Formats: sequence, C-alpha cells, structure tokens
Amino acid sequence: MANEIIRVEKLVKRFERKSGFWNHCHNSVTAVDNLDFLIYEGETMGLVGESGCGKTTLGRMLLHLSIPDSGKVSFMGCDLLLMRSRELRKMRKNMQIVFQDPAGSLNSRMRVQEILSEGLNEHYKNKGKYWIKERISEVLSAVGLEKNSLIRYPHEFSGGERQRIGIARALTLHPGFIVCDEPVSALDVSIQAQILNLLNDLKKQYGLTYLFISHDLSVVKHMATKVAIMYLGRFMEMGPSDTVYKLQKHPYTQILISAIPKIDKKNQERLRVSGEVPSGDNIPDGCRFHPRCPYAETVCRTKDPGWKQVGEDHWISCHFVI
Amino acid sequence: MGPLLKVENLKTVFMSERGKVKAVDGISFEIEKGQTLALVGESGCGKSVTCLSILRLLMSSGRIEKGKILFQGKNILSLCNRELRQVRGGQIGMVFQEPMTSLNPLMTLGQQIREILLCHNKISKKEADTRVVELLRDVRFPKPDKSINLYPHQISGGMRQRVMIAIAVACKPLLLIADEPTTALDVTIQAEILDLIQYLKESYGMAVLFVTHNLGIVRQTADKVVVMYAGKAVEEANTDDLFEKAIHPYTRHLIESVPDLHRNYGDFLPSIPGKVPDALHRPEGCPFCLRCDEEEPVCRELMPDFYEYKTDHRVACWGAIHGK
Ligand SMILES: Nc1ncnc2c1ncn2[C@@H]1O[C@H](COP(=O)(O)OP(=O)(O)OP(=O)(O)O)[C@@H](O)[C@H]1O
Ligand SMILES: Nc1ncnc2c1ncn2[C@@H]1O[C@H](COP(=O)(O)OP(=O)(O)OP(=O)(O)O)[C@@H](O)[C@H]1O
Ligand code: SF4
Ligand SMILES: [Mg+2]
Ligand SMILES: [Mg+2]
Repeated sequence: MANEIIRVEKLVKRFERKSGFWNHCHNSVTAVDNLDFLIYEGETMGLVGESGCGKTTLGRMLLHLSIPDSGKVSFMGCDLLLMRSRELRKMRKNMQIVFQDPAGSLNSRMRVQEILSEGLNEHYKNKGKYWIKERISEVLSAVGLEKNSLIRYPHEFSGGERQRIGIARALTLHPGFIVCDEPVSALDVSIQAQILNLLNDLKKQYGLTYLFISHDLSVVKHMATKVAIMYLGRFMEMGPSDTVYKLQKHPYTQILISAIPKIDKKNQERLRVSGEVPSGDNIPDGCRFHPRCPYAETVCRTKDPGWKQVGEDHWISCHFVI
Repeated sequence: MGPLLKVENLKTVFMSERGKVKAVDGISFEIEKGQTLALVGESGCGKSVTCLSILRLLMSSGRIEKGKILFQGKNILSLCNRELRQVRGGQIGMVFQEPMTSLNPLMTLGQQIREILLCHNKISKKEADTRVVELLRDVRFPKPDKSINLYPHQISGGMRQRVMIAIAVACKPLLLIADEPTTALDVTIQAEILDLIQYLKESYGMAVLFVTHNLGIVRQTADKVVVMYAGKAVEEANTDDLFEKAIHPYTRHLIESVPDLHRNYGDFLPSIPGKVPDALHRPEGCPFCLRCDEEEPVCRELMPDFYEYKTDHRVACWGAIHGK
C-alpha cells in the first residue's frame, strides 16, 4: 500500500459573520463540516463542487494556512496542529498551494523575479545565487513564460499569464504535495492542456501528490485518480474517478455532469436544479442536498443519509443509492 | 441604423521598460443590438485589453494608438469625461476577469451596488435598497436581504463574481462586456448565470461581448465568434460555422484541444505545440506561422489579409486564400 500523505479526521471549520442591517445578527457559516479522508502518495485527488461549498477552505486547512475549529490534519504522519512553528516552516517547503485568485495572491510591488525567489531564499540560501537563478529559469520555462517576464510586475501580465506565475511559484521549492486551487481556470484550452500535461509530468518525475480543485469536470476527470464531490461542506460522493464518472450514482454528480456546456451541439438539454441556492449558515436537515434534489422524498428531509460504502473505495451519501 | 458597437482597426499599445508592447494590433468587429459576440483566443492575445479599450479603462502605460470605437454611432474615443462616465456602468455594463481586485474591500456588497444605482438613476435611497436585494436575488445570491452587509473577503470567489454581475446589469445596459464572467463559477451556477444573461438579453435587448476560454459556453450562447491570436483577429464566423467549418489552423487546433468528458486521453491532452510569440518580437508575417503545420513560405513574410472567405465568414490565412 502506498504511503499516506494526508490524513483528515473529523475536520470542521466555521466562520463567524455579522449580518442584518445593523450588524445585529451574528451567525456562523459552516464551511467544512466533519470530513474524513485520506490522500495517498502519488494520488491526485480531484475536488469538485459548487462555488462556496468550502473547497478553498479545505485546501487551506490541509496546508495549515487556515486553522480548523476541530478535527485533525496529519501530513506524512505528523499532526500539523501539534507542530511547532520551526518544524512547520520546514514542512511548508514540502507542501505548496497554487492560489485561486492569481491577482490577489501575487504581491503587486514585487517583480516576478522577487516573487519566485522569495521561498528559495528562505529555504535554499546556502545553495548560492547562481543555483537559485538556475532554478527560477527552469520553472519559468516549464510554465511557458519568457525569460524577460522576470523583470515585470504582476499587473503587466494577462490573467492567464499571472496564473502561470502562481504555478511557477509553487513549483520552485520542489514540494511533494501541492494543493492546486483552480490552477487552470483562467487559461485557454491549449495552454490549459500544456499546464495539465506539465503537472502530470512532474507528478511522474517526482512522485508528487495533488489535491486538485476545479469546477471543470472534464479536467478533473483527466487529472484525478480519485474524486470527491462536495456540497455545503460535506462530501456527497467519493471514489475512483473512472467509477464516479461512469456510474454517475449520486443525483448531484448527475446534475454537475449534465450542466457541462457541450461543444458539439447547440441548445443542449440539461438537468435543472431547483430551489434556493444554499448557504452554510443554515444547512438543511436530513440530506443537505434535498431542497435541490430532483429525486428527494420524505425521508430525505428528515434523515441524514450518512456515508455509505457502495463499492471498492467508493462512498456515497444518499438514501436511494445502494 | 448601424450596429450597436463598431470597433474599427483598434490598436492598443503599452509602453514598458522592455519597449512597446502591441497588445491589440488592428482588430475590427461589430455587434448588433441584442447580439452575443464571443471573443476567444490564447491567453495573452489581447482580449481583455480590447474590452478595456472599449471603455477607455487602460492604465496609464496603455494607449490607444489608432482606430475608432463607435457606440450607437458615437466615437467613444472622443467623449468627454462626463459623457464617458454616463456610458460606463450605465449604457455599457462590465464584468471583469478578477472579481477580487474589482470590488472595493472596504465597502459592503450592498453599498457597492447601491452606489452604481444612485449614480446613474434618479431614485431614492429606499428604492435603491429594494433594487439591490432584487438584483442579488436575480444573480441567485443566497439570502439576498441578509447578505447586503457582507464584505468581499467574506464570500467565496464565485459569489464575488455574482456580485460583479449584479453591479454590471444594475442599470439595464444596452451592452454587457463580460470578461470571463464564469471562470470562477461551478457548472451549475455557471449555467444559471448564462441563463440569467440570456434572460436579460431577451428582456431588454441587451447585447453581450463575451470573453471566455470555455468553447462549450461559446457554442451554447454566442451568435458569432471572433478568434484572436497575438493581437489580431484571425477568424470570424457565426457560431455554427465556426464549430463545424473552422478554416484557420489555429481555430481548428483550439477546438480539438477541448477536453471531452467521454474520451480517455491517457497521459496527454492534445495541445498546440509552442507558444504565442512574445508581444515584443512578433514574426513579420502570420503570427501563427511558427506553430502552424500548414505553413507556406509566404506565411513568414507577409501578414495575410482578413478577407471574406464567404458570407459572414472571414479569415486571415494564406492557406485559405490559396484555396486549400
Ligand atoms: N474569511 C471568511 N470569513 C467569513 N466567511 C468565509 C471566509 N472565507 C470563506 N468564508 C465562507 O465559507 C464558505 C466556503 O468558502 P470557500 O472559499 O472555501 O468556497 P469555495 O468552495 O472555494 O468556493 P469557490 O468555488 O467560489 O472558490 C463560503 O460560504 C464563504 O462565504
Ligand atoms: N499594463 C501592461 N503593461 C505591459 N503589457 C501588458 C499590460 N497589460 C497587458 N499587457 C500585455 O498585453 C497582452 C494582452 O493582454 P490581455 O490581458 O489582453 O490578454 P488576454 O487575451 O485577456 O489573456 P488572458 O486570456 O490570459 O486573460 C499580453 O501579452 C500582456 O502581457
Ligand atoms: S438523499 Fe434524497 S435528497 Fe439527498 S441526494 Fe439522495 S435522493 Fe436526493
Ligand atoms: Mg475557492
Ligand atoms: Mg484576459
């Protein structure tokens, strides 16, 4: 059996928020609600789900960039919450993130050169300037940016180019585990394919492990070995990606797949979801998907379907799937 | 009456330390009232700069060197600041690529939407507040009446984009410029936003200039498509023709690179080898020549004309000119 890279146990994250006209109501939003799962070495775990369902929050907690309210995250057997900051900093070298919002996550006062050398200077100072420079030009060409990009500032690039800078930054330290939060969403299909091929290449070459967050189900299918479908802070389904896509067992999985805009036919039919868009401060009773589920019945409104195993490594949360 | 928007030979450059960057290099297109035009093309080819030029929102290092932008027959490039403010956010709404940077982090969602409503309409604060909630509901924001006091950092990327769309359509614009409005959204919300844009289009004849990488969306929503490459338009056709009878080698490659859910690609997705030429060192001839597998000697020397291959289908490629 492959080594465990990430172990998540009963993980919960809530955010307090003020609302109402005079900020008089305090309520808490549950972004991640009691998750358990494992990621093994060499796996790419795909994470899909509606906007706001907690994907970024989960990804950040895996890297200890956000502190859980309860539960446990272990990285290669070490509990991140118990680690001291020095150990944590060392560990950081081995785990990186490609942020979802490239513009917001790149320091606008730094040139690309400085952005890319920041981590290297911290962890590899002893290797010398020349080595660092070499490493930077290596990753730069890997993501398909010109050498002269180094002297430019983030705002001088197009959206897709900025996204590539974010990917380059994550790669500089040769991490073993990378959280890719929508790494290709701003790229056109051809560059997207180049970057995905690159990520797969690196994975093979260095045995990398990824958590791959994306809205694009075709991309996730291509990249992921296993996939988790998330809804309002919980997984609705998790399993080997071939199985999940082929069987389309969970109603939410079916809806997501049918909503992909197709390029071969105009005016496609799709399953429509009904009901109010959900929010994490008022999670429905029973199955949390029931207000929007086309198959919901009485039991769905009252009883939580739980987490059932339906096949090898294949888990589902729905009353009517066996 | 002429088209709603007519862009004529637009050239936009940036002055940078490295020299003059020709971000948009002579592009022309038209949008009729109520029509949806999709602008597609490789990252960095000049789509966003085209959109920003139309609204004269370029940062100080950018300059429109040449061309005309006629909106309802009036050249936007010669409007005074006051007229320009009326057009921006009023008759032309816009949604930008990176929602976090275009929302004010210090203002609540409600304040930001209200501001635009009060700026362009003669309505009371109370009416504006009602309309804010209505707009948030239109973009399917959860709990619209309670969400108005949230700050941008408190909501997810996709929610921010919905707020941006609410702001953009707040004044019922005639033209909506949407630069990758759904890139941050999941498929179901994306589908809802596209339905919403469609609904707004039909209900008050709004035209849309749509920039997206998602060719599936282009197929499902656009009436016609302009394909850009390295600052230039290389093909223009109505949507069905473009997907079924693409002529330019770049367009054909682009369509082939779309990952299909039902296909197993093994380790490699098809992609176009090589990369877009740097905006500072573009080849003399066709910008795609370095990556093209149908290249002829003339391709490297001369830029082919953007010519009418057949009715409503234009292309800039020597292969097409030579009847291949
Ligand atoms: N700093 C914060 N303060 C308050 N609420 C927050 C904060 N960060 C996230 N949230 C809330 O937590 C929930 C999950 O957000 P998250 O960013 O993880 O979603 P996501 O799945 O990544 O969505 P998207 O696909 O749109 O990026 C959302 O309801 C969001 O509003
Ligand atoms: N302020 C600037 N200074 C210098 N060059 C710039 C500036 N803004 C954009 N550019 C360059 O102009 C070109 C066109 O950029 P633009 O943002 O229009 O691309 P795009 O087609 O929208 O790409 P994407 O799909 O990645 O968003 C790019 O090569 C970019 O590097
Ligand atoms: S449990 Fe019921 S509501 Fe939930 S997904 Fe299954 S059928 Fe739908
Ligand atoms: Mg996110
Ligand atoms: Mg852009």
